[in-house]
Amino acid sequence: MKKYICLFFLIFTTNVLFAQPFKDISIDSLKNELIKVKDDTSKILILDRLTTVLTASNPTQALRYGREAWALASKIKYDKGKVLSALSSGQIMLNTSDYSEALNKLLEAKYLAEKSQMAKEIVNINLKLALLYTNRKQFKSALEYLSKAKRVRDSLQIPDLDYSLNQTAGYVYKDMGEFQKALGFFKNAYQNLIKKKAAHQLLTTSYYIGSTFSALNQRDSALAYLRKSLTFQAKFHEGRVYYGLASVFKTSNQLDSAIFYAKKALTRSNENQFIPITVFSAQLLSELYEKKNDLKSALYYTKIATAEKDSLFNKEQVRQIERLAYDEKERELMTQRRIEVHQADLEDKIKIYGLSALLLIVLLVLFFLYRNNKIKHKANQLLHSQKEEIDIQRAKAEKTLQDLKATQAQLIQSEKLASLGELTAGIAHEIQNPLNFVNNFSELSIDLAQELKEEIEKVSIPEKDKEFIDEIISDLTQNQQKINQHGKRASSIVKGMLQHSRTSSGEKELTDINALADEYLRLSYHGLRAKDKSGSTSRFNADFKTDFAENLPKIAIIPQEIGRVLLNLFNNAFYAVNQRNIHTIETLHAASPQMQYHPMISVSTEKIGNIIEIRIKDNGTGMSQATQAKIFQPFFTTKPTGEGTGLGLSLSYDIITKGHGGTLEVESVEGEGTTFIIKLPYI
Amino acid sequence: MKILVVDDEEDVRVLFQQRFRREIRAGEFDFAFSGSGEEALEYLKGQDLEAILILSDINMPGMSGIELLRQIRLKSPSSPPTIMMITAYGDAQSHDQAMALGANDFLTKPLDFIELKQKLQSSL
Repeated sequence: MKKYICLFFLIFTTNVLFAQPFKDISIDSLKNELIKVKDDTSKILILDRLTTVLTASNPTQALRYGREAWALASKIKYDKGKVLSALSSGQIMLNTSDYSEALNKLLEAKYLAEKSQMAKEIVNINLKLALLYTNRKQFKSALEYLSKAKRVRDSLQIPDLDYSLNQTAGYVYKDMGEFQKALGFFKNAYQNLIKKKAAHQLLTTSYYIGSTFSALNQRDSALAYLRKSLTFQAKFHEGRVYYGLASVFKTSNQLDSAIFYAKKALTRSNENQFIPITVFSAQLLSELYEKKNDLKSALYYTKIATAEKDSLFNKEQVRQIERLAYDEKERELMTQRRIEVHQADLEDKIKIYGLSALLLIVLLVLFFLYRNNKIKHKANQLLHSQKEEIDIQRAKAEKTLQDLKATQAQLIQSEKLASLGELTAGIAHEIQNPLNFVNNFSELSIDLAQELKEEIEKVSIPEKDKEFIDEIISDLTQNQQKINQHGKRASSIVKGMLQHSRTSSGEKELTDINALADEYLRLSYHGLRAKDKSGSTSRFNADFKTDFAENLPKIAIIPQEIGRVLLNLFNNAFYAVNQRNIHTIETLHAASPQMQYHPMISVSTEKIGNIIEIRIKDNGTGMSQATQAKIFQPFFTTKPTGEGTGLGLSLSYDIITKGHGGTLEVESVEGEGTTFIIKLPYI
Repeated sequence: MKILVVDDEEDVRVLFQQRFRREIRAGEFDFAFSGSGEEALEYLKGQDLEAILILSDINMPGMSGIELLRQIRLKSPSSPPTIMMITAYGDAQSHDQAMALGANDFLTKPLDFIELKQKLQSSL
């Protein structure tokens, strides 16, 4: 029984937990305003304000306004309005101990507030639910809601709600029997109010502090706060304060004072229809009279208490609360499930987004890899082409180096030849004079010998002596002739040598190379044939052919000199084929007559770039490598003594290279033939 | 008419004397010999240039035949004397130079005495 008393005491105490008197707002002015406004959001706000204002003084009317506000908000789909009206109506239902309805409204409001993300309302709804479950003695749920409210408040930093949180926390812990903790929260709430300068709200908090002190058996403090609470002169509030004072006096065994305040509490609670206080007061009076041995009075108040308690403990209401609690649990579960589904959806979305992002990253990576690969491929291609280019350039460089080496060798050879030529020319010049004397004096001596012979003829001497003298003179003449012959031979060598150093007096003129080559080829051929016929045996047998390039441009050369070169080369070619022919006839052909050799000279011309090339090819004896290395040296000859001076090719080389800036090359295979290649620049 | 042979070679004198012994004996040719350009210029001083034919080698130590020719032509730009130059085979440069300086003729070594005799005879 004592438990129930305590419960109802606490329930009652919640009545005005958040009921804030609006002293500055007239209920009538609000009602007037209500008539003026249209059915819109402002009307809902006025209705809600009326609900709140009338919560303590006229709960029935307040609830009517609350319902009207809810209906209108539902009609115009104004969720915020619905939340506010549900919150206000829920408070009234809590006050009137209509827990099932209160729970219904608060959960509805909670759902809507969360949907609309109304942070402050969410906190208030959670606090009211904490109160409701405290009243239901379901402290676990109460603490959960309290903690939820705190969490939301903390996350959103709403300072205005400090008071509500502290007050509710104090209320929950006081009901749980943790009075010290509760007292701490209440005192904090008290400070919050002072800070907010909301002195008019202090009556409730003072009452709670007083009643907590009372529970802690601190009589004086309890009396001080309870009396302070009375100073606010709120009639609807006085019932519970009187009851509190009565309880304090009862504890201190001041029975008369206790009876006095208990009766005042009963009277005031009856006036305000606060059934719990009516029950508690009646029970208290019954106990007090029992202590005073006034059993008649005690019985009287017991009857009152029992009658009121029955109305309070309506079984149907208890069932409804239980059902609602179950429904709420279910709703919670549903919400939880919704949250889970939402969470799952969110996770799915996150997964999808994550996968998309991953796919995008993969695609990006692939794109970059592809691009890098492409760049690398390009770079490789570039490198490859550069390598190829380098290889080409290297090959060119190597070729150039080879050419350069060849040119250098040629240059060295040229220089050698040049210096040798100059030397021989110098020597030749010096030899020429003495040779002239040799020739002249020998000629003179021949004449003198002849004169001597003639003079002796005139003198008469014995015939025998004359014959002897004639013989001597004849020998002398013969000797002089030999001296003269060899002197002239030496002279011709010297002449050849001097041709190296002779400055050409010829002028360069545009010349048809084909015509020039053809002319000298025929000259050489016929010259050699004529020479051969004059001999005792005719052995010259050779053929020639020409392959001249058509439309060959005329080039600037000294025709006499190039003619001399060509003649030289043709003569050599004919000599070579002739030599081979003789050799063949003498050896091979004799052994096998079917093996026939056809001496052939072929002359061709060609324009290659800026070069005019003349090739003189024979199928003669050919030359060894050693011979080829020496042929351009002066005085080198393979011909028998007296047949060649060894200056023909040396001179030709000088004419082509020095005189005309060209080249004279030889390609030869011993026993197969030789090709001389003249290259003349065409400018 | 005197033929002045200018040559640094001593044997030229012997050669000329022997080669033209008959002409000298017959009084057809009258040779004088100088061993250098300087000697020739010295000889020419006080001589009747119209009665002199100079036959000079080009390559000589000291004053060359070309220089001798230049000096003579400097004093008497137009002939006389008749001057024939002798040079080594193929010295085209000397030939051109000598002709430009006013040489009357040009002979090449080794001398063709038959040709020389004809040239001398026609000049005298």
